[in-house]
Amino acid sequence: MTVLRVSALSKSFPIGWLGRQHKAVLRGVDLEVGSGEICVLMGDNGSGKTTLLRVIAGVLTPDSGEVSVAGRPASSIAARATTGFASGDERSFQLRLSGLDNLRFFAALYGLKRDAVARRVEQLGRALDLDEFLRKPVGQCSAGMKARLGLARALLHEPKLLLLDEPTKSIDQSHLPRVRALMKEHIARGGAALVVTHSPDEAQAISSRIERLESGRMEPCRSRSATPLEQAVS
Amino acid sequence: MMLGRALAFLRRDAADQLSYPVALALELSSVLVVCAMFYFLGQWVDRTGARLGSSYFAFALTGIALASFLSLGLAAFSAQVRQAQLAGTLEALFTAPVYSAEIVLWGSLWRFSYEALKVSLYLGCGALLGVGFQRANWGAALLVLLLSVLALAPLGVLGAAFVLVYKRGDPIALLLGTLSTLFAGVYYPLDVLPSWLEPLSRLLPLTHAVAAFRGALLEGHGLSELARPLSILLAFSVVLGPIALAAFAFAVARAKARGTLSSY
Repeated sequence: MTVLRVSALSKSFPIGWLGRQHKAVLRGVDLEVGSGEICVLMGDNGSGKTTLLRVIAGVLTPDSGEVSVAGRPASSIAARATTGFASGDERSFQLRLSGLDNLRFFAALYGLKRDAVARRVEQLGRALDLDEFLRKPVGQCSAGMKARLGLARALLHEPKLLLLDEPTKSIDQSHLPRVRALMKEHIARGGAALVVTHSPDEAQAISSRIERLESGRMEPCRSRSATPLEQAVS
Repeated sequence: MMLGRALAFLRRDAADQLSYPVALALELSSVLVVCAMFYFLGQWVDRTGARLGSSYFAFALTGIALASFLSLGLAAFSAQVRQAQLAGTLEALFTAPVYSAEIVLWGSLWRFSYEALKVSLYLGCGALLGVGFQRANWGAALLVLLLSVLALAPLGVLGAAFVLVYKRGDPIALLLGTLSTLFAGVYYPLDVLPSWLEPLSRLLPLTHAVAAFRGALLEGHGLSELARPLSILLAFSVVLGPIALAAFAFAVARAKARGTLSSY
């Protein structure tokens, strides 16, 4: 079942003081990611990977083309309710509040009930080794801790689609297996993921398939044989 | 569900502000300073035999309490959008399943609640310093507060839309704040203004709000006496509300199209 469908997506940004000229960042991108699939998106800096994720997450509107998540337009409330986005931006939290308070705040926005929040926070806290700093103000946490917290926030509401922008760039080696295990759990329950990374090793380790963006265009799909992750799931 | 989200914003912003206890204490103590200043000023003004229908201190205190509540509440809409832009939290909010109007409305709830607390502090100080609230119609005063928020909030949302597009400066809060301070009858009665300024004064929501608030608190006016100012406040809300929400939706759409939601 297709969870994410992107068709003929184009996006440009105005440049210059008056913004009358535009720089095309995505040019007719087509992409589908199905249930139980982790699609890794690679490409050079400025190739449009993050822009694509932000359009899918609903924080950018495309110039043309369509994006749907679980059959609903990406910009809709329903699509956002089924999408989890870890942007990799360490500043996306209330820094004076604890990680727990930040997670509770977003859980409320996603409409999670109190007992479901407690259960998910406990699960994710254990899975991502968050417990020791969950009660500390986020501003006092390291980049790696914030990255793990960002991942927890993205997974809190058990989304159908997980969008991860360089999820492991600040995470130490000892915690990488935990992150991968969570992704495995996510696809095992029928979720899909689109992951941006610059690390070929990371891509090899987690992906069902690798796509490449070059200058805003999708290169032909490169399917892969089953990865250790998929083998573990199957 | 919507109530849950509103409460989540309220809890988040309360916890954030309470994490700055010194700033909070200083801000609350400024209420005492203002009260003391106008108490002494009132002693002097009352000696001149000014006819205000109450003591000058009571007159100014009720005006300042409401004006402070509304102007700081009004500025809260744009301030919280700006704060979220600078902190980097705005884009994360827009990835959540909430309507954009909720982000700006619920994000200002705490500030209004806090400013309402300050109003009660102003009035409590006033009572301690001799302002008589024996005749006060508290229910009507509460209704005035509520309708004042509804009348002013659309202007705050317009300011937030401006900040979303232009990032810095909120001309609406600035202009309205200045005009209201000068022409809404906060510090002095409107009859000292030249007659040609009266129409401008009547165009300001705060003019009607202050008059109604004083009427309820100092003269015990009820709904029948306050019908006119309350209707005017309601009219401001009904006319400006949809315009403000449409402007904010336009600003969000523009920011999403230009990719400037998180830029500052």
